[in-house]
Amino acid sequence: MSRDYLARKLAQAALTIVAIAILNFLLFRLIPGDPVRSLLPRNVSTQQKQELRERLGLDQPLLPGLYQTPQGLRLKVEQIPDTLVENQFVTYLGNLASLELGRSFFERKAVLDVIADRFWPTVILVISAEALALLLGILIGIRAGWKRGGPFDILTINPALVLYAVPLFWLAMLLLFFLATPNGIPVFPSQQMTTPGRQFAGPLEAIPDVLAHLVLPAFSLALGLFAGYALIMRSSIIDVLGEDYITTARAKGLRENDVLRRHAIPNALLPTVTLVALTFGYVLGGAIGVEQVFSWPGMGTLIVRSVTQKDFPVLQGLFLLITISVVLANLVANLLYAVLDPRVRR
Amino acid sequence: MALLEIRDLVVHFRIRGGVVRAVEGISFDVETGEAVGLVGESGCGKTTTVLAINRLLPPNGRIVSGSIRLDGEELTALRRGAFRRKRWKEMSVIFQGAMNSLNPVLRVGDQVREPILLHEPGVTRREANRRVSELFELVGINPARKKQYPHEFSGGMRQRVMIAMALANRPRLVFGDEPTTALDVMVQAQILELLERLRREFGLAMVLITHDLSVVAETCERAVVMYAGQLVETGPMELLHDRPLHPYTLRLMRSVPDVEGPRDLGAGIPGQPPDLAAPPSGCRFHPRCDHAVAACLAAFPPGRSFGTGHRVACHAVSDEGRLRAPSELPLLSGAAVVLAAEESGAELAMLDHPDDPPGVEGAA
Repeated sequence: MSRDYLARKLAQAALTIVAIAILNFLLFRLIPGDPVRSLLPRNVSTQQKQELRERLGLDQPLLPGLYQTPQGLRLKVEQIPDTLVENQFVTYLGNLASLELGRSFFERKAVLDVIADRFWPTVILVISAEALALLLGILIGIRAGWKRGGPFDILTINPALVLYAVPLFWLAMLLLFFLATPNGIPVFPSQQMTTPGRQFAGPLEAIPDVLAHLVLPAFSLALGLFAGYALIMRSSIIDVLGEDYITTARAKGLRENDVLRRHAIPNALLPTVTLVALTFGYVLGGAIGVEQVFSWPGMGTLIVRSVTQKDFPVLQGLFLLITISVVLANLVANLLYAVLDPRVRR
Repeated sequence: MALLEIRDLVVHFRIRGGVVRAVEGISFDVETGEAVGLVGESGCGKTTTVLAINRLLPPNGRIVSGSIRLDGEELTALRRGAFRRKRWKEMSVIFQGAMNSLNPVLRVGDQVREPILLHEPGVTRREANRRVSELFELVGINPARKKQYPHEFSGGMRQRVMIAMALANRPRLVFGDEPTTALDVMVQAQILELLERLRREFGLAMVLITHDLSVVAETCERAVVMYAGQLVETGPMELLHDRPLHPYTLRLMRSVPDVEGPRDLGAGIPGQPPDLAAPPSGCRFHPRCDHAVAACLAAFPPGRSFGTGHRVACHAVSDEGRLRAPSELPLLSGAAVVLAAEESGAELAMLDHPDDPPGVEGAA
């Protein structure tokens, strides 16, 4: 791939991230609700509220001269010169640059630490679900498209469509109900990432227990995702099989399997790669619901908790992290696409 | 024995609510080292014929009957595996490389090398690579371009890659499916010249499908003229050009303007090719033919030979090998058509679905 292409894609990703950082700042300043009021008990004095406000830096203007008052946004022109540097936006940017995301309103910890605890569980969940979904989706899609209209096609694509239409959290609840509670056959643990109270000698010892806990959440997420991949893969295999170069490959004397493997699949994978990148945000969204159902200690449950607690610094940190990871997923897809398709490398 | 012998080939396509009778009993031979042009309007069955020979028909297409012999071996009787081992090695196809016949995500060198490694297991990778370089030089591409992808080539260059690929296993028979159609005139001339040179150099037999008569005139010794799935006339190109016997061939030759002739468009052929799901009875050209007689509705005429491999299937041609003028024939018109049809026991064209139409009699 050319250095030009790489540079262009990196620049695009960087620009998007900057835009996200700005939006993220504005979003949390402009939503209604006063964090100070929800932080303190109802009966504290105005002065105490004011002190907390100052400590959190909420007394400063949002942008030079732009104050947030109970009556809404106020622009005080005469204040602009004085608050050119001393405003929330500049503080925010400075903090971002030093990876300082503030402190959680509720846990007495830095936001970065709060998120760090929750980061890996979500990564494990999302990656295993994506891997499962891709494997299932691509294999089923190829097979179904290859024998279009055959029994395999009909018996897999129709259930896949149903799963595609079902809300993820509902699917997760069904799995939970039937496979983790005495209502069905309780094969798998119902919640958390490890068995509560159990001690492990080291991280390696914990793996079997974590895997057992991972099965249901990962499958819930994967079952909701694979249908999209299967459908795209199926239709692109069908498209590709009609191409002239497939006839060429057959004429050359390749076995049907090799026609598929060497000529059809590499071409048919391209739309699927795009789809994976495009739906990455949707996957993270789905993970929130699934984590909530299984009390998976990841960023999804953290988001839900932070929303109910109005823990703005944590939410802001999470939003930033999630949006950046979506941008990065797209970047990876773009680079992968260039590897798979020589036509886009320039 | 000819290199390729096609006898009474019948190919049908199943479609919703019917059968398309795309090729209806054609017979012709291709001798070793000979170039044969397969000509006719779009949809006359020439591509279908080549696809059928190479077992490349789409799933709804089927060889209903007939025989295809390569070097005396019956290809239609071969099992899948046995046929696969023969294809490309003994006969290959030059598809329209300018279009989408090359895989866009594979390097062209690898695509040319693929059949070598596939059919010649004794050949090492290094040896195969060397042969690919030779092939590239042979068709006039810098071997350094092996590592490039199809989109980095112009249409003419892609066609050259396609030709290199078709020659990879040094086959004795090559089919060219409109190999120059999408190219501009200059490039077209270069490609034809290249094909001609390679054909002579390797003693290749070639079947060239084209709707462009000038291409056939330039490259082929012999031509097979098809109309609506039937073979109407075959013979040496010169003879077909100068003294065509079949009314369709006559019209076809006249439709090409002559560079030195008058500056007007040649007379076209009135009407349109028939719907092959409900073809006319007998000779399928009769509704558009101004020589049609009663017999044309009843049955497709047997092929008659008039020396030097010239064979024609037409009721209007006399036994001495002369196309009788319309004035000499009991022509059909209006009520006469109906009467003639009833008399000969045939139903009218629009209603007729012969299940087992007569084929061209082998006269080679």
